[in-house]
Amino acid sequence: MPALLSVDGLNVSFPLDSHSLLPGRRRVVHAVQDVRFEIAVGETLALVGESGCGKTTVGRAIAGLGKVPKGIVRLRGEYLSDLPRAQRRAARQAIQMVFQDPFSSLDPRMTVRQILQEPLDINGIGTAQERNARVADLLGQVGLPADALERYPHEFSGGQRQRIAIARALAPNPALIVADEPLSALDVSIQSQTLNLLQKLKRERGLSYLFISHDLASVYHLADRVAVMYLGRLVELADRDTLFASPRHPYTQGLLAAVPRIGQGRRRRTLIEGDLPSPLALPSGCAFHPRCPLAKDICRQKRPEMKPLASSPAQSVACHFAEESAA
Amino acid sequence: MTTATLTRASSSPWRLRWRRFYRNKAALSGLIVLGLLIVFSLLAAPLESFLEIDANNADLLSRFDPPSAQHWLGNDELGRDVLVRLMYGGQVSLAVGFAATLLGAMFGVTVGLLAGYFGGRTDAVLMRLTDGVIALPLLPLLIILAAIDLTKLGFSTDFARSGAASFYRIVLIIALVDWTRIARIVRASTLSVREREFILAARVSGAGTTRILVRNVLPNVIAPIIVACSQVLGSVILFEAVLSFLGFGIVPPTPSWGNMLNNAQELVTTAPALAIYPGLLIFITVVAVNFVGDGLQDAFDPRAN
Amino acid sequence: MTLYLLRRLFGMALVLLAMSFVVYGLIGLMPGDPIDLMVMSNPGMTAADADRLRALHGLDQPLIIRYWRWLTAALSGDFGFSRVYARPTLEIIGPALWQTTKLVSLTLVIGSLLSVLLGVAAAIRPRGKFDTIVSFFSFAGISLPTFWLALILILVFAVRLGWLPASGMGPSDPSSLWDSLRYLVLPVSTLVIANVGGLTRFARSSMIETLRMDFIRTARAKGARSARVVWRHALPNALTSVVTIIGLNFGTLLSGALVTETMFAQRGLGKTIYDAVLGNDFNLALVALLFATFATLLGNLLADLAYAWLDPRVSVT
Repeated sequence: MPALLSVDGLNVSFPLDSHSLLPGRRRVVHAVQDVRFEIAVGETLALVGESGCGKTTVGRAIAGLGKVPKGIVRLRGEYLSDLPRAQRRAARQAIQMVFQDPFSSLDPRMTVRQILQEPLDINGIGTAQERNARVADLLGQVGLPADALERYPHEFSGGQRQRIAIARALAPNPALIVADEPLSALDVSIQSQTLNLLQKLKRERGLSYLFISHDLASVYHLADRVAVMYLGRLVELADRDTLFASPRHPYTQGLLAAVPRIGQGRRRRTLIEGDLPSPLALPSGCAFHPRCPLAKDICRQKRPEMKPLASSPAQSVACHFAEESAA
Repeated sequence: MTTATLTRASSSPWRLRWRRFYRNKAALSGLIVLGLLIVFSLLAAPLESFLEIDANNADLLSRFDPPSAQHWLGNDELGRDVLVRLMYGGQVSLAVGFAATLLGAMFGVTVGLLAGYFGGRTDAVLMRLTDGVIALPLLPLLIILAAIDLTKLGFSTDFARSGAASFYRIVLIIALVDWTRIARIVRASTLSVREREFILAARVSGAGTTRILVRNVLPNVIAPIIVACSQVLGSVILFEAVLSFLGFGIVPPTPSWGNMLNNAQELVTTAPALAIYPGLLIFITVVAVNFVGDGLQDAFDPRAN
Repeated sequence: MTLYLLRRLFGMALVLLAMSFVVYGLIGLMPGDPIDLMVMSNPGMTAADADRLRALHGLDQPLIIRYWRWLTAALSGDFGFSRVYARPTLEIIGPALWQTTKLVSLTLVIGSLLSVLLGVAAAIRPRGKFDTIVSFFSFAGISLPTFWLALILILVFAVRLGWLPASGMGPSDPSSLWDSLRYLVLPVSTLVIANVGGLTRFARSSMIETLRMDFIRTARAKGARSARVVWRHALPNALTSVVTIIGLNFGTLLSGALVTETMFAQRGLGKTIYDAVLGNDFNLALVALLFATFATLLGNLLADLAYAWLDPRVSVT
């Protein structure tokens, strides 16, 4: 599969004390470091990890939010950061985003029509008539009735609002949608409907997703490949089936062990202990070592690189003991 | 201001606010009184022609005439009709109040939006400026600003001496200091709106900063802006009154409630009623405006009280 | 702490510097340019004469250079001359400052005591009868035009009742304390009434908030009588916030002082500014304004320090 999006050496840092008027002496938090992955056309990559691990930051950086991140982001082979402003904006339309909280992601002062039309207006897509038709069509695609157009977001339920948000993301006809925990704010009964909608859109439109989630069940349902993130870095990346069947990183193993799964009985429960360290004071060596059951001296001293496994090259792991640690 | 926004309220928050406001007796009576004062001021010209008088015409023979069928509140120290001048003065005082509040709001909203949206150093600089202006002894400063000779700014002598010039000047200098409160409130609201995901969504859609500020942030901070304006209006009216009274605001013969008291210190002994009417009207207006402001505050943010 | 003070003082200096520069620049736009006046009053003077005079006084220099001269002189204690009085500005401002200090400090003491008493008493039973009355009068106080209030007080107490003098500062050699104080009664009353409304509202709401706090409930639960709870535990808290708000509103107080001093013909700082502007004596106005601003900023700073001193949770760093 050709790569639709390729990300290499992605770094995002946030300045602290941004209110200081004095120059110099500014500390930064490294929220995302050296993240690298690709997404093929029509593929869904899931990005999983605990909250605070930087997965949302990765998603936002790719969708063009925040400062221009350090690192290379290529869309259909073109370096986004090299493009002149106008062209970058046009290219950005190919990447859209669905947010976590549909109660916050829809402007309460706009009607559904205005919300759906906003991306079309901004990017000057189509004539007025075409936009009207497009907006009505989008509403149908996400399964909402046409009379929803003149209503305000507060008149809808959470699930319906998330459908509106998805329709807005579809409006500029994107190739990739970054979906940041799109289900976690919804009722469980609504979650599967929304998941099915995402699946249907993917099938019908050949969409790619960067699906950010901490819910491994929905990841299993939707993803083709899965990337696991810990404290701003990727620790494991593999096909969905490989990752779920034989996770190699102790962190991935811990995450999976925490999920009860049908047909597997009770597995050995190696739950991850301890708290996530502060991103302000990252542990030395492998950032996971304070919580890792397998940690040795080398883990405290040297940071393991992401490397493909010798035994299965499609699976990359950042662990000194990846080759030995098959669960 | 409120009714205009209420008519487009197919959205329920506005209806809810109106209902809360409506139930607040003090606020509602404040609004009614304010409405009556506006009507009172606007009736100046009709009443003038009805009574067949000219309120600007000095007639030294009828100085301090007591109330009569033609001059319901009597005449002032130049023999002009007090009632009609009070009505014209109301037009000027209220117009200055609304205009200076509006102009200050434009400035305050801009500062507040920019500070709140960009945060960081922009915020720090703008808010220090705001705090600095809030701390100043404003009346002495305004008096000095009002002394600027408009002819030295390139305006003609005729314009500089005209009533219109004094109107624009007082509106401008009051606006120079009344924006601070609005800026603070808008900044605080913008800070919270900025964190909402629909702002991010607009940016993903390709919206530029200006568009986001105007289309997404501004409509969501309208409610606090209205509340802030209603709270500033009272102090603006008081500023106009004191500046005009001290001779730095609206210049006679154009009447304003403030400058009608110019000679009040002498009048206190000769015709105390003339010193009481304009002040009483200012007082009633400001009380009414403050009641409305308080009511709006409660209606828009019921948790605050 | 020292660092905090230094930073605050630096900030104050910056404000004064900015303000002096702006106002100094604006003076050029004010009426009554001395050379213009000379030209007008002396028909024999030509434009060339006027230019020569300007050059002689350095008035042909660019604004920034003239300001720099003024500033360096000011920093060495020379604030220039008052044109109307033909005396150094400091000689005029000194007594004015003392007059205003008397007015403002009396107002501060009486106003804060009165507002805390009223606010606390009203807060004990929110929406009760006493609270309603206090709220009503606070509202009225906020909405009163200060100059008109002064006018009414003059009308009632000086003109009608004849109890107190309507204006002036009293004899230069008062025979008794009352002889000089009675001239301050009406001005101080005016300023107190004009400010006590807002302060009372503030004291009331901060008291209501304090009474809701856990430690008050604890004190009550321990069986402390409610009067004791209010006066021993809650009052200091309310006082703290009132002190802060007074400090932050010092500028408003000085604006009010300008009005009262003008109304009662007392040559304080405010009236000095007012008279100076009316008499086109702009150097005096500028220097007096700078002193007023300095006093305001100092008031802010003292309020913050007092706040930190009264509330152990706040530390200034």
